[in-house]
Amino acid sequence: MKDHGRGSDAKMMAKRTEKTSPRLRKIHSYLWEIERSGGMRVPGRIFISESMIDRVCSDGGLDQVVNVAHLPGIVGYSFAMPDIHWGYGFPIGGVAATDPAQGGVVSPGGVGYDINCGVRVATTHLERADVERKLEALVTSLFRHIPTGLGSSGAIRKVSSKELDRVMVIGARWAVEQGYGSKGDLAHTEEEGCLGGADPSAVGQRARSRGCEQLGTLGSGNHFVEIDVVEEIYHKEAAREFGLRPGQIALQIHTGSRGFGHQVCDDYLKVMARAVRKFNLQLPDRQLACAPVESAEGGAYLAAMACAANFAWANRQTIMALAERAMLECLGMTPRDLGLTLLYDVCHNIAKLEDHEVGREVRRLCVHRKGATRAYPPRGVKNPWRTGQPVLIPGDMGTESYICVGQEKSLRETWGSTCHGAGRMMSRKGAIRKARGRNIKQELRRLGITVRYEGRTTLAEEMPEAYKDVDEVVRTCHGAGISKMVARLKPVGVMKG
Amino acid sequence: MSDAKGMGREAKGMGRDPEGFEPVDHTADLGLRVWAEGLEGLFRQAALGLSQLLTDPARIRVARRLPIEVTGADLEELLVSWLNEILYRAESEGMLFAEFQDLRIEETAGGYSLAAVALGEPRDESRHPLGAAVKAATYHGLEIESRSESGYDLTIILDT
Repeated sequence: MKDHGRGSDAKMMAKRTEKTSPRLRKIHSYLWEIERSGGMRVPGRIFISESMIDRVCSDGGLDQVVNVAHLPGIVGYSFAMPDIHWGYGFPIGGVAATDPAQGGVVSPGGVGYDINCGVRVATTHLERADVERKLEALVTSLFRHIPTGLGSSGAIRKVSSKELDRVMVIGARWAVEQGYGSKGDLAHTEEEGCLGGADPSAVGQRARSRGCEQLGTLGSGNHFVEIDVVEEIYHKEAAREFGLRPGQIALQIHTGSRGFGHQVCDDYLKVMARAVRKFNLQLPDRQLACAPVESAEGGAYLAAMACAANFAWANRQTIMALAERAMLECLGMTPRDLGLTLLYDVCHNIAKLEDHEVGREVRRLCVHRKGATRAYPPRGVKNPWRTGQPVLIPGDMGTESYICVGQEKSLRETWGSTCHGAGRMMSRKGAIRKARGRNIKQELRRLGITVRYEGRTTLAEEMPEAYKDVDEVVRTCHGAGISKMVARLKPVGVMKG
Repeated sequence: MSDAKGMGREAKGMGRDPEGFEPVDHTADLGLRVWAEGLEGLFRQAALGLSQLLTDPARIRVARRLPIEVTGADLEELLVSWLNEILYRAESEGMLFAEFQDLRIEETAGGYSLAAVALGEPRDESRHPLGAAVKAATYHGLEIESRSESGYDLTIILDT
């Protein structure tokens, strides 16, 4: 059965192309629409530039935009940000809001396994020259202080189940209470590092045990801790407010809720599969399994998801403090000299109940952001920033990261959302094939980037060429007006799990 | 055969393989294509395929035999639970498996149950290089019921 494999691949491709190429209608240079058809309750809207169209159409992501448009109670549009790519259930880069008062659902597939995967960036008093010759030692020191990798458990003592309850309820504040970072960090964290409605009794035993083991660990895959240098400023006023200046050294952390979140997602997908039958919901993909927000199942998921989101914030808060220790030790500095200050912390895998204008009224909606970032305009709700909420867009090894700022238009057009990163354009297998016979580590070094990682496959899989140009993604959001570019960061030292 | 590493051991060097697995390209995540004549074979191949993504099974010594049991409301849930159980053992106990024996699937009042014995050892960093960082097996596009004449053939998308 040699062609057994081929057959299946081809079948899958056919399955994709048959349904696909949903017809795209141009709204403006950065926005395209998929008209309603079949069981779609709303049209789809995709923020991409003309040059990205072929790539986006050849991927299965557009089918998934169409699938999400089937969700009961979905309001407005099934959105995709420019970093859209084929995921499972929702596309990565998908944004969808449902109205709980109209039977709107919450879907764990619209959040993903890594609940509250997110990014934080902290600024320092250092200049490039202060670290240039110490990068190797610095990255080694990060590795020594921050645990990572398959099944790695924490550098911090294992927390008890009772303590974990507190982590689930108060989030980042738990870490601050333990001496990891300072209270001021909370004001610079989305939701102040604590999502309301968390109920530890909604979290199962297995998630708990994974949580107790893994608090304060980075994880692997695309998660990282990076030393960056601010390369360019685009928006002087916002950069000033955010404390960014050219040549400055910054710290960036990308991780989430680890096995705790994965387990919550896995547990609730089973609950949702039963709910789909109970409420007789018609869905085009099982991974979209969901339940009405105002049902026992929907409520329990949101309560457990909030616990995982809070775990992730406690995790990033803890890891930032561990990274600070690593930097202080390696550079032989005092905290005052280092001046590590949290700029902001955002989540990009989450479902949140938020108030948004629908027509002329304000309604409380359940906004799913699966690989998308909240991007609130200046002086809005939960947003004290004069220039707008900071938006952190991580690049991938060897590619730049961007700091952007939320805009009025995002509230009107995308439920206050923008992109979250570059997104893959090459499969892992494809990347490994392309990396064969090459020394990715050395190539990166020639670009001025010191990398340490666990496991060779990961590095090849995560090589810069495997990702879409983050630059184009960010510029598309800028052009569409849903977020504006503030600064570009270049990685110089990378710790990769 | 440069891609031999990506094939199931059953599949290596044979023209016609009744069961096996192979990694499949998926942009964001990882796909695992699995085929077999019977249900037990399908579940075993899926577990072998996942194990191979985690590390090279040829380096795993059989030091422990762990009984594993999972349940599912239907076959898809049973398969996802089975694979996520293997991931959980890898994460919580550091267990890596090279073989799965005595695999039995039964229909129960609540759906299906699976019992098997997993053979392997805890990870030893010096001998077991890390492979893919798999977070979970997903339900995306998963349909087991559609068995063709030659057996089962499906692709599981793994979140990585």
